[in-house]
Amino acid sequence: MDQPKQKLLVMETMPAIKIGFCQLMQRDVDEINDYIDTNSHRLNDLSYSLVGQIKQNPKSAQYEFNLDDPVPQKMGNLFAQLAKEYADNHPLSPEIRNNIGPIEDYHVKKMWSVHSYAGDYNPLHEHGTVSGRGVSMIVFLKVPPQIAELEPSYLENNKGEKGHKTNLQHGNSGATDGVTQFVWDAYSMYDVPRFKHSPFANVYPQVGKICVFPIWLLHQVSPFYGEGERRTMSCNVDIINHV
Amino acid sequence: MSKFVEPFSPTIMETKVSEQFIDTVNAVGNDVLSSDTKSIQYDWSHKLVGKVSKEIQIPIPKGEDRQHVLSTMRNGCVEYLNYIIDKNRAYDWYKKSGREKRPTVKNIKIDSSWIVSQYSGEYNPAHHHNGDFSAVIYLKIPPKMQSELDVEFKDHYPANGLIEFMYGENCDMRSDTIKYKPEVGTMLIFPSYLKHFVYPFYSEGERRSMSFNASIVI
Repeated sequence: MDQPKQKLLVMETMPAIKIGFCQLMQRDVDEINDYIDTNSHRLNDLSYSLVGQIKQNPKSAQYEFNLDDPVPQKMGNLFAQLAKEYADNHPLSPEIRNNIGPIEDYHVKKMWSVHSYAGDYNPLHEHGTVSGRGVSMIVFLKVPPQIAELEPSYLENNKGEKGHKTNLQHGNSGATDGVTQFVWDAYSMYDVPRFKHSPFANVYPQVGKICVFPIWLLHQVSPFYGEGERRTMSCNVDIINHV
Repeated sequence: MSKFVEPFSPTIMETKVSEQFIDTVNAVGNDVLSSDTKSIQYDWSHKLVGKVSKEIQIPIPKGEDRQHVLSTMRNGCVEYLNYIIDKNRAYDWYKKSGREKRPTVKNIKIDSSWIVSQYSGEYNPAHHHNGDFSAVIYLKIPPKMQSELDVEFKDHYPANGLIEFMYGENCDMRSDTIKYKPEVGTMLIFPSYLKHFVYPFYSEGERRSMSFNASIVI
């Protein structure tokens, strides 16, 4: 049989995970940073309940936002909307989507900031909500330049001689310093030629970037080196279960 | 009488290596790591994901010590494989050898081995290895690291200096991760696909471990 000249296959993607992205305006980033800097003295210290190993600098901290304050309230409305959009993008039947609930059922129950300095890191963890349902988010509020430059150098220069992507994580490159790494599923090198998809996703910090992910998705943040603060805020959006 | 069955998770074998093993590998490690020329000659970091300043191959000279090291690694894999055969889960072995045969050291090929010389602040992000079996063996722990770990284990979520393995996702009534504290002489053998992380520590001195990947051969 002659080799067909045109491609025969139509490929369909059945995703294992979805991560949503959104870009916050600089003025909103400034407003959140100002809220934290102005109110940190009265915000709860979450260091004793979160998994983050955030303690290498006197300024290393994890603060719980007061959800009655205006700035967290405003951000909470945005995060609930992003969570609803995330849910709407998930491939569910209309009946199941209706069962999950309208946006009024999406509630931000917890919001906190993480102030990391050189050597601070977050070991592997997932998030949780009261209902066991929901979506989590990370917002990057401050990113030291040595971390910010990783994304362009990884994406634009990540080419070998033949134009193939090389793995910049190898060779003590620092390509994952300060990077949020999502990990899921089982995978081995035997899975490469049987076409299983890689279960790693690196999210490179950039100021204003919002990353939306399901609460069950395990992730970790590697330490970084040098000057500067890596500041993020996170929240869990609970979806109230009426059943 | 109820019976509980736990058939699903990957298996990690915990064992100890001999003083001879530790001394042999450390002697070669000291020789290579203390020399800039040899550290470059035997550099293995381009094959590894770690943010670790020195990761090197282990050029053990031929002789009884080399045989002991290789034999320890291969015997560990045989013990692991026999356990998995007893659990009725050694699918690749059955395919290659049938269900009746038991493995020997001749069925274990060491594909690669290397030393990770880790200092304060260095880490390994999530990764997995190649081959069928992988292992980590702890060779040196910084003198002050134990006191760091003592403090760390009073924390609600100890992590500094530990290795953490993960498989699957969090579900109620099942485990998806496990952390180990490094202790000199401990060898952990695990399936190469088992993802793991090494978290940084902040004590002075070197945390030295050795890893290897091995495959089943017939």
